[in-house]
Amino acid sequence: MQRFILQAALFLLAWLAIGYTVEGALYLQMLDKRAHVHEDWPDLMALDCDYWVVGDSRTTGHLIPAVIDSVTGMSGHNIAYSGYRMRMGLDRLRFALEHAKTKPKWVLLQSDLSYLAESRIQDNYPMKDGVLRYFLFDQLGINAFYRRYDNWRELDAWLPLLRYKGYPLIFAKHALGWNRWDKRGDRGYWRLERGVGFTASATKTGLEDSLLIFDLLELQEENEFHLLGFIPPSPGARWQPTPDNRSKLNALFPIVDHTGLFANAEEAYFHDRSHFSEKGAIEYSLLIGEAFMKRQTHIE
Amino acid sequence: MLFNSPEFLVFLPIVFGLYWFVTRRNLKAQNLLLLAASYVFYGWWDWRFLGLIALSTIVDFLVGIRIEEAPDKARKKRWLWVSLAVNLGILGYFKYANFFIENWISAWQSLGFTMHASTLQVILPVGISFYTFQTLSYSIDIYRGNLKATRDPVAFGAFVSFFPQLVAGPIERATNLLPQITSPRTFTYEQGRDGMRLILWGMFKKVVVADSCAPYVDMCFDNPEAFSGSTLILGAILFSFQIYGDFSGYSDIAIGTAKLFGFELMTNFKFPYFSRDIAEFWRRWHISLSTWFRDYLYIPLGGSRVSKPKAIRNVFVIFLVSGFWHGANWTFIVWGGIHALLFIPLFLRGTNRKNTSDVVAEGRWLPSPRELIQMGWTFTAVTIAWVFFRADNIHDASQYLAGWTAVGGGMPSSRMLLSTLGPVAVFAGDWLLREDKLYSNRKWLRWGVYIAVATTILFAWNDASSQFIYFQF
Repeated sequence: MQRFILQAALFLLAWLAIGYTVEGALYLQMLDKRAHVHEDWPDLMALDCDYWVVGDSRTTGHLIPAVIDSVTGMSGHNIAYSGYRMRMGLDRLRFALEHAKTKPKWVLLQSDLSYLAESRIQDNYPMKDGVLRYFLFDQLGINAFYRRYDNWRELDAWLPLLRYKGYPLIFAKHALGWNRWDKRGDRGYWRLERGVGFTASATKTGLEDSLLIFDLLELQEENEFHLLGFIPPSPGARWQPTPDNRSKLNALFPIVDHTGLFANAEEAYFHDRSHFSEKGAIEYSLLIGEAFMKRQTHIE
Repeated sequence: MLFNSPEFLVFLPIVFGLYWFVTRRNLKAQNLLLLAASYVFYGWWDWRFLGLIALSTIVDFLVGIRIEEAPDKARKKRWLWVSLAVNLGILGYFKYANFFIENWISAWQSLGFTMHASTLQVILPVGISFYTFQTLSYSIDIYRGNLKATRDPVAFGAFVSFFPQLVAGPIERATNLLPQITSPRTFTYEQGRDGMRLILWGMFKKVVVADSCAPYVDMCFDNPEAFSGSTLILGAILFSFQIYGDFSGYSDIAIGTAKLFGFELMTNFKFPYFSRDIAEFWRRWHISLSTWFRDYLYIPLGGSRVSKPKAIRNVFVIFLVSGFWHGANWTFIVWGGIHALLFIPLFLRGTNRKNTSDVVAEGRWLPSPRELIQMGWTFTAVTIAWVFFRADNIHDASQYLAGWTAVGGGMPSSRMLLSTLGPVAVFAGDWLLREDKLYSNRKWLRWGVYIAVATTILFAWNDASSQFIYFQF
């Protein structure tokens, strides 16, 4: 019995030692080289801009601050995060506000179903590779934000490799460095040279869903920024809220609605059923810049 | 409680610790602990059905004594009928009642009579087919004089509900397990090590193979018309590995867990996909069930020592009943029928016991071309029969098989092709295990295998599909 227990303990220790070694190697391999195009929590420190853009992947790669800035003459930063929903986006916004050098004058909020809909699992954080990477030992101090979510697993923060449970391909990506920022040719999909194919669908999603903004208005009051909502177009108007829900939101803050934009040439402006192509992203950023300019002039 | 659940990870060390460190010197207390642990294990799923196990236990415990004490054969038989009626009654009600009602109604409806279909709302208790067969064998063995009735209710209760094999086998015989329960157990390092290895390999088969195949199998069987012939064929092959990984994985974990408590359960799988013909397949697949039917149904019917027509009838009976044991659906009966049809030619030619060696390609790294062709043919036949086993009804199964010939529609997706890595790994592992070569004599290599297997299990672990298929039987 003694030998059996000793061997079992030795196995656990060996497994832990190898696990921590692998984790250490992964961390060193990706140190300062983003594992993911959106893995930018460190970049949220000391922001010093006029406006910030908040949303999910429909905004991350679609609203290009440089293009907006060329129209408005302001400076902006896109803090949208792929796969996020409003509740998580608020955490990110709060983190950025806490660490900002100067608070933004404006926050541009993606106000469609993709980001705000109640049914878009607001209580779970997305288990994407960019998020997974930082759990062990909490190198960035962001676990505190994630602990509140339903799918948080405390042991992931302490035991090596456990965060990859159920995600073997993400481990392979991390181990092989496939998604290292410095190795990617496609830093932001609008720079893609290869075609990604157009798979637009006319299916609308969850049209009747309520739009949730949680405590955004309190955060706005505390930090004294202006809010401007925008509803980006999507193929088949897939992510557009009902007019009724849109009006309810519009009563809280102004919204720029681009539903139906590019509807006659979807293949040219979108690369899949949710996201813009390079052409779409640039043109849409110009349009948002103009709408933003008008709104700013109106306020002033 | 599932073997692949966090609860079991806590449950097993606690029971193990209490068993070997607290109750070791007292056999009664040890058996009582086993009994209590088994009831907790089962009750974790649904405590209300503990009553059924208790009923089956009490009936067979008392019936066993009555059979033994009965002065003549007629009275012994009468008591045996009590056991048969109770156990098969429970099984019939919970598992087959709706099937018979539905078929009764549709038979009348096909004759033009109007009948309203109102079936019973019956929940199928997990593992019912396993523990009822286990208790039945106890009473039958006493009736036949092969076993003495036990007077120890705790030991008998532990035998019926022994948690490692309670819900999905192996279906133990009282002649094997009961004497182990009534004798003191000792822990040996070798038994513990072998147990842990079996648990590890069983988990690998379940988590890495069965669970990774499951989504693609479901995708193909749920909507076969949407996929090309090559995708459907791959879907059927993946199901062959899913059910093997799922069921033999469970058996390995069960046998391994039993070893940790000092018990030796019977082997349930002996690398069935290396079989060179269907007869050999049935000597290697779900051995505890096929030998149960052999000993308690086939031989009493006369087995092969009767006229040819009767022997053929007996073969059909055993395969059809075996199919029906799996579930109340015509698909299982057809599945059994296909195996009977595949077995009969071997039986008639007298070649059904040609391949009886325990190890395929013994002493060689690879099988001969002839063996490879035989194994390929057997696997193909078994895979075709599995389509009926997996489909919801005969029509769906036929449609699925018809879809195999569909040309065009593209190749299977790359992710689906990637899911074949698990089956390939288990195929290679089983090939080494058949001659006990997976775990090398070199310590560092052996430990490397342990750690690689454990890490792969961790990565592949998916909470979404953790239920074992054979629980429903």
